[in-house]
Formats: sequence, C-alpha cells, structure tokens
Amino acid sequence: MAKNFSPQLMKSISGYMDSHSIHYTTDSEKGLLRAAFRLDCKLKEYKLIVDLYNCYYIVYCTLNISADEGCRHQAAEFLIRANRKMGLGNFELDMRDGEIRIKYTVDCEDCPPSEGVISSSLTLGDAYLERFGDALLSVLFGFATPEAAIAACSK
Amino acid sequence: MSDQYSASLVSLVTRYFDDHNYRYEFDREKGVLTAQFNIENKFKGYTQIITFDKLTYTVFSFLKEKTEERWRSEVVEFLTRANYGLKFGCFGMDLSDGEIYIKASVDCDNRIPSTAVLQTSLDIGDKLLLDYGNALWSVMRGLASPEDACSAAEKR
Repeated sequence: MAKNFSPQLMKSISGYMDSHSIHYTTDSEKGLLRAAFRLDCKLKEYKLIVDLYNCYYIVYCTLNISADEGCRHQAAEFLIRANRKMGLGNFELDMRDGEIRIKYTVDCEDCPPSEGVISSSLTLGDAYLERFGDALLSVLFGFATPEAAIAACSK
Repeated sequence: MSDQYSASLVSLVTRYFDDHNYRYEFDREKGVLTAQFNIENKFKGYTQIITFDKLTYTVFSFLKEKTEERWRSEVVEFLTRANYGLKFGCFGMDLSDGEIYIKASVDCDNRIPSTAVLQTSLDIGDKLLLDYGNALWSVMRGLASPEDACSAAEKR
C-alpha cells in the first residue's frame, strides 16, 4: 500500500536538491528521497534518506560502516556522549545489527519549512560526521575508548 | 535582556505556558525557562528546561533521579535501544553523573513555529517518559535487562 505523505514537502525538498545540483532518486510509493554524499574524513561517504510524512519529515544519514557485535557497547557509549554535544538531531545505533545513523526530524505541522530549515536538515549530517566521524571510527576499531575519543573531538 | 536569543520565541513559549496555567521561571540573562511537571509513573515528575537561541529552541526533560555508576552501562544500552526508531526527540545521559534527559530541538529559522509544532516539542518528554519510563526505572536498578525492558515498553 502506498504511503500517505505530503507531495508539497516532496516538492520543496527535491526543489532544494535541484537548486543545489544534488543528485538524488525518489520513491513516490514509499515517500522517500535518496542521495549519497562524500565526506572529508575517514568515513568517506554516507547515504542520505529523507522519509516523508504528511506533517513532518525525517532525515537519516546512514554510515557505510556498522558496529561489530564486539564493539557495539563502546559504540553506544560514544554515541550517547556525542549526542550531548549535538544541537539538532542525534546519532542512533541499531543494537541488533550495528547500523549507525544520524536522525533529524522536522515537524512541519501548520508550518511549511523555510529554505533555511530544509538546508539545515539536509546538511547537518555532513557537519556532525566530519566532527565525530574519525573519533567514531577509532572506537569501532578499538583504538580509543569512547571517553577519550569524545575528548579528542572537543579539542 | 540578552541578545543571544529570540524574544519572539520566548514570548510564544511563555504565552503557551500562561494559557495552560503552567508555572515556570524564566532567566532573562541566560534565556532559559524552567518548569516542573508531574508524571504518572515510577519517576513521579521531571524538570523541563527550555533553552533559546536566535533561530532555535531546545526542550530538555530531566529526570530528578540519576543513574548509579554501576548501572550506567546498562542504561546506555537501554537508551540506545529506545532511541532507535523514535520519530521525535531522543534520550540522552550525562555519563559523568548519570543524569538522564530527553531532548527535542526545533529549528525555526526566523519564523514563528505553529502551535502544533510547539505543542509536540513540549509534550515529547511526557510522552517518552510514559512510554519508556517504568522500563527505564527497572534498568536503573538492575531489575531488568536493557533488551527485555525496551522490548516490553515497545509492546505496550
């Protein structure tokens, strides 16, 4: 069954992507926009998914690397520490398979998003992954404790 | 008054509180609103703190009870499990003292948010504490595993 979502939201976000020459695909059955971005850090890239609903949309920035079972608790601690330093959005970790992503929800009920709001929502993943990405990798590979890795980000 | 935050946003939120007869304090220097709310679960209540910026505001709901050091790792796992898949807001913890909070930020970009957006952001703490609070309370005491507690909360 096709998902119920706002075509106007789809139009606003795809319009923003068009005007910024961002390559993306749309799934009008599921109400999704998908894109991939490169990063200036060791993570190299991430996948962006915009999940549209009637009154809000959720931006997910999913990493190409996941947390192995052996380091999942350390990854969870690192992400809880990182979330304290984030303004908009937060990291999430799926404890079942180790998937790591950033999530940010924009509530648009009776309040269509401005271009500035759309811009922030689509670019915050980039900013956070460049800030925390290398430190996260060091935790995932067992090179640093979550506490030390977060302290290094602050420096 | 500080010029570090939007007076319009503060006015919108304080008017909402006034209209609902909620008691609160507002620190004009810091741009911080504080209120106390009761909740019908094991935690009994929480402190809501709203911080204002020029373009955004953030609603924090802090539990009054902190996590003992010996249970912090379990609580991290519980909060991580709870956060995965939430639509609005997220749980967080200060690992230096075990303080737990729920956070919801709204980017307004010089526009005034609708009443619906404001209400959702203010109600998130209440909703998530009702959904997950008793399960979290059990994990904070070592009475349930994070996985079982989270799973039970999400089945309710």
